[in-house]
This record gives sequence, C-alpha cells and structure tokens, in this order.
Amino acid sequence: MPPLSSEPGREIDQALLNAAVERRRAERAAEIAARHEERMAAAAEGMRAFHGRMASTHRHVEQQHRTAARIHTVHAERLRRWSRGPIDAKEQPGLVQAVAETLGASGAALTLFEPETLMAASSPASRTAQCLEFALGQGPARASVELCGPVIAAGPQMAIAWPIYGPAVERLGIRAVAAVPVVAAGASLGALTVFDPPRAHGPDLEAFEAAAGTLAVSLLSSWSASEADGPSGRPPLVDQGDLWVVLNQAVGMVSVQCGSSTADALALIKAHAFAEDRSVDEVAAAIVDRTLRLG
Amino acid sequence: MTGEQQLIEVLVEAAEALVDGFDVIDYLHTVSERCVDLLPVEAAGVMLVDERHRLRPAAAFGESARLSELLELQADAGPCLQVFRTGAPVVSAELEADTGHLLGFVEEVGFAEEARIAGFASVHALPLRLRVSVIGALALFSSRPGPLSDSDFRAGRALANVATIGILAQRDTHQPELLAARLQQALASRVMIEQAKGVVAERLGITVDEAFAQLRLRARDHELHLSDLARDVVRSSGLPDA
Repeated sequence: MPPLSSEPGREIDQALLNAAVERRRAERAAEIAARHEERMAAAAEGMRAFHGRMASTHRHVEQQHRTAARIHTVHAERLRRWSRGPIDAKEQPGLVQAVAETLGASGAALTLFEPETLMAASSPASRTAQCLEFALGQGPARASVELCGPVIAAGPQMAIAWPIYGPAVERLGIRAVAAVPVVAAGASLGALTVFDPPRAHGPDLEAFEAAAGTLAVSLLSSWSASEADGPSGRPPLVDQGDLWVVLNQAVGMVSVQCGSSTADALALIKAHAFAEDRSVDEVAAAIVDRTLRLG
Repeated sequence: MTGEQQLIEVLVEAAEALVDGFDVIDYLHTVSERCVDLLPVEAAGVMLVDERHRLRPAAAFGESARLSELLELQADAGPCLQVFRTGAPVVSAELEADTGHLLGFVEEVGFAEEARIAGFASVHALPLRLRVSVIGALALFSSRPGPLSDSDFRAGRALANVATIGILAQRDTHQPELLAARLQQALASRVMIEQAKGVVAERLGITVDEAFAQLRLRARDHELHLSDLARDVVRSSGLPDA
C-alpha cells in the first residue's frame, strides 16, 4: 500500500531532526569529557582517577549519540532516495535498514518480546533467520534478553550455542550473529539481532547497544507522538513490522480444533512446521486457508 | 511577605501557568528561581530522567557559572543521583573535606570537590516523585553548611511537587515506563484480536474476515472494547453468539 504522499516527507524531517538532536547531545558530552580530560592533567593525585573515569564515561555517551545520529542520518538519506524513486518501487525503508547499513552488517532485525509480537527485519534473509529463531525457540535475540546482555557467535560457535538454529542460519549463508537487548526506561522490550557484523576490528558491541537504544527511543517517542495525534497512529516501526497476523489467526483456529490453550496451539504449529520442514508462515497460511487441520 | 505567603504566591503562579498552557522548561526555570527566592540557597536546578534512564539537567537558576556543570555531573555522582536511586531526599550533603570518603565513592569526592570549587558548602536534593517512581530531582546549592530547617525542608518539598505537577501536566503520556507498558499492551491486544478472529472463524466455519465483522458487531452491541471482547473470546474460548 503506497503511503500518503506527505508521510515520507514528514518522516525525513523527523529523522533529520533526530539526527540533529543526537549530534547536539554528542557535542555536549564531548565538551564535558574534554573538561575532565583537561582537569585530569592538573588534578591532584587522588582526583586523577575520578576525572579519568568521568572523561571515559562521557566519551562513551558521546559515541552512543554519534552512532544514533549516524543511524538517523542514514535513515533520512534512504527515505529521500526512496521518495525520489519510482512509485511502488519498493517498500518504504525502515529504521532497521538504516541500523544494518550504519553497523556495516548484512542485516538486522528487531524483535519485541512480552508478548513476542513484533519483528522488523532489514532484508528477506534477516527476516527468514528471525522467523527461524521464532519457530525454534532458540537463538541470539532470546539469549540476549535472558542474559540482559550482548550475545555474539560466529561460525561453529553458532551451532554450539544453538544446536538447531545455528546450522539453520548457516545454511542461509549467515556466518555470524550478534544480539543486544533493547531496553527502555529500565524495562526490557526485546532485542536487536545483527547478522554478519563486521569483525575486522572485533565486534563493536557499543555501537550495537547504541543502535538498540536508538530503536527503543524511536519506538517510544513515536508512540507518544502518535498517541497525541490520535489513537489511530502507530510508530512507523510497529507499522512496518511483522505482527504475525496470519499466524495468530491460525493459533486461534488450532486452539478450537484441539480444544487447547493458545500457547499450546502455537507450540503445535511450530512443531508441525519443524517436523514438515516448512516455515511457520506457510503452515499458518495453510491452516487459515483450511487446507490443513491440526487435531 | 512571610515565607508562607510567598509559597502561596508560588503555588498560585504555578496553577496559572498550568491553566494557561506553558513551556515546561520555562516553567521549571521559574520553579528553580523561586527556590532561590524562598529558601536559604543561592542556586537550584531540576534534573529529569531521560528515555535512556539517565539524569539530565532540565533547568537551573543561580549565580554560579559552574551551575550547569554541577548538574551535568550528577548524572554520574552526587545527591541527585542518590535521590534517583533511593527515592529518599538527601539533606545537607555537606561538602566539607571528607564527606565523599565517608560515602566511599571517588565519584562522590569528585562531585564534592567541584561543588566546593563553585563556592558551595552544602547541597540538598529532593525527589520529584510520581507514586513509586522517581522522575527527577530538585537540587539546592547553598554557600552555608548545615541542614535545612524543618520549614525550609517542607517548602522545598512543596516546590519539588510543584515541579513534578508541571512535568506531568506536560508529558502526562510521555513517561517512558508508561509508554513501554502501553506499547506492550497495545501489541498484546493486537495478538489477542487476531487469535479471537481465528477462534470465531473455526467455531462458526466462516472466514477470518467474516469473523472479524462478527466480533466488531458484537463489541458494538454490547458496548465492549474490541480488545476486551477478544481477550474473553480467547481466554474462555467462549463463543460469541452468531
């Protein structure tokens, strides 16, 4: 569905505004860091460590804001290219694609848990990988949420960490995965998975965390803005994401077919997909089309 | 004017701002200014928690050129951070030599040192509290050591509450915790509605689109929210009458 003509323009403006805000915050943090670095040189013995630590804290904060600014800038640029291109050429680029490009990864995916409802992926391959994690109930996003920290695995490590998911994503041509929690106001919302992160200088977990923070802020701030505009609006991230619509319809149907809870119905659908080596999407579509019954 | 009369003036001023509509930063600046007018302090500032759960200075008023720096510093150390972590007010964090050492943190020593350089002998911090969560802190800087008197402390609390009311009036729905919870709730109800479509479709042998029409009709007839009806349908697997 092509969006209203004013929509991309507004999103571009918003992205540029976000980038400017983040840049300003980065500069502010840099100023504070510089002041502490300056003081460190002149400080008494006991205070040197303090100024050193303050400087490094604010340099870290600075980097976080710089990464966020880059993501918003890339997003604005992608939106601009897209809006100039042929109508209906492709779907409107989402923030997750800007994240993948900024991090130099082959793909990225945002998953929201509690409930496990939303998934926004930057590319078809990322989407397939994220669906695998969803169907198999194992993988980096889930692990990082459970650990409340970053998770990274490359090559054979993937199969060791996740015996089914690992080999399956390797078959998709993905050689490494990383995931960091997406946290807002201390509450865990979900995880950001990064596929094939650049590894020349080791994984840049700080950049991943900054990207996760950017997504969280974007989710919540656009959510509040949309609430102010009226109940119909939703954050672009939510609208562009996958809400597992057909799957949940199938879950409702199977719960009646089997006289089970919806949780059990979902487990049944996943198990069926795994046993038949089909995707959860396919199985769900077949159930809703009534070409497949479970129970 | 007595202190009490002045406080009443401040409350009237704040109430008028709330009624008329206002800029929140401007409002917080006024609150900081009134703190300096009413309390035995030379500088005051308001710190707010941002989306990333860090304290940030929102407004400040006072003579010291280093005031904004002293506030910035409290994202990592000092009485405001302590207030944010514990929810309890910090009265008369005296900045005499070894306070920080007593607290046991080099960061605290650092903050005390900076405050002393700026010419302050004591710092007080009061929570901006919304029910159980702390959304920020009011920092008060004084060149005199020692605690606030009981009546000054009460006046300070009142001013902190005035600041809180202004912030809430402005952002009401903009609180990150609330937003996160609402987002999850909204997503959960989306899931529930799709599942309910499936339940109704299967029971009545109709398509999911027809099932959705049925659900909406029933919600309207019974003046129910669609998401509430969907939850009942899914939880009880209860069948709405066709």
